Parts: sequence; C-alpha cells; structure tokens
Amino acid sequence: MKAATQAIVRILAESHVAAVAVVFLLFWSIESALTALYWLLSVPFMNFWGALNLSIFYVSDIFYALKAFATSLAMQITNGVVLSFLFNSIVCLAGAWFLSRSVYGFGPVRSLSRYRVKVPRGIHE
Amino acid sequence: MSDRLKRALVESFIGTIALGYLLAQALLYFVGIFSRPVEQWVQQRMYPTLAANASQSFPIEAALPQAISFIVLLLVFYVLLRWLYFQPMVQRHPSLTRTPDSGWAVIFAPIPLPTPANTSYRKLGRRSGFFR
Repeated sequence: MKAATQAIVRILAESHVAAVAVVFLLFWSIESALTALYWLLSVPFMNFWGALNLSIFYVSDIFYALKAFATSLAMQITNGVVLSFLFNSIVCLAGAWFLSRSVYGFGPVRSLSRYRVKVPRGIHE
Repeated sequence: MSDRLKRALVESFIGTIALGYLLAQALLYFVGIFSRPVEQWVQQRMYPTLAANASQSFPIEAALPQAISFIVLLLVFYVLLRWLYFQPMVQRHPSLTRTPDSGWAVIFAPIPLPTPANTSYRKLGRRSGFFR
C-alpha cells in the first residue's frame, strides 16, 4: 500500500497534475476571498454613499452616513454569505497546501515558484 | 486511435489540466461531505421559517450528494491517470498498429511499483524528489 501511494505521488508530480490542481485551488481560494470582500463592502458602501448624498441635500450629517455603513456592515457579516465565501476560501487554501505538501514537500507558493526553473518556457512558431 | 488520442492529450497538456481540475474538484467535494450538513444545520437554525418542513435533527443526508460526487470524480480521475500517465510515452511512428500496452489493458494493469532505482529520491528527504 505504501509503495503504491509512493508510485501515485511520483506520477502526480512528474505528470504536473498536482501542480495544476494546486493552481486551481489557489485560484478558487483567491476568487472566494475577493467575492467575500465584495459582499462585505459593496452594500455598506452603497448605503454610505446614498446616505452621504442624502445628507448633503437634507441633513448635512456625515455621522448618519457612517451609521448606515456600520449597520450594513454588521448585517452583511451576520447574514452568513460572507462567512460562507470566507470558509470556501480557507478550504481551498488548505487543500492547496495539503496537496502541495504531500506531493512536493513544500508549500504551494514555494513549489509553484520552483516550476519556473523546472519547466522551461516553450517557443511556439 | 487510442494511442494517438493519448499522445495528443499528454503532449498538449490538456490531459494534465483536466486531471488537475478533477483532482481539485474531488478535494473540494471531500470537504463538502463534512461541511454541507453543518451548513444546512446552521441554515435551519438561522432561518427556521424557511426550513419548516425539514427535520430538526442533524441533516446527515445532505452529505450523500457530496459523497457520491467525490467517489465518481475520484474514479474518473484514477482511470484517466492510469490511462494517460502510468505507462511512459515511447517515441513511435503513428502508423504503427495497436500494441498490447494500450487502451483498456493499461487501465486494468497492476500499478507499476517503484523499483530501487526510482526510489532513491527518498534519501533526499523530499516526498516525490521532483525538485532535486
């Protein structure tokens, strides 16, 4: 069993399949993190901007806009969407780290940066 | 035909990219086996009016689609990996006929275990010895 696992790990490394999987997982992790950030900040900023515009013409009070921003921010955190994307991002990052560590013996960034030396750039004419 | 397809998939790296995608998806489905029931349980507790018909117990059945997807993806991944990469590609004229080491014979052949010659990388202290 151990020998078979070694063979599969070796094939995963030499066929570059593990590297591609690590790249996919890192990409999905970054995508999920950015989506979480978008969900976290988009609605509060829209509310802030709307309240600010309102305050210029009617109330002239920036604290009202800041309060709208803080309320929206708290609502976005507690409704679970941001946490879901954040969890997805962490899972993808952990998967990339686990795969890279078990196949190459290094973390994902270090093993991918070594690919620049290992796989030379091709010239297509 | 099978050999030509295999050569095209390996040399164009399409097989590598497809297998990498399958492996990454399989990992995520494996995590989903544990996280999906927890997610549904939290949703039931946060929005009890939306989940009025759902049972109050822990929704362990939510892990079933994830488990099935994980097993199927892993199976497809393993079959494709065996077909494409377990036998090294040899330079062969494309007009040569089908050989016994191609197609289904490769998929169902026993795993080639590492010989002492190709296990020397273990002495170097890294898992696969890829970055020597």
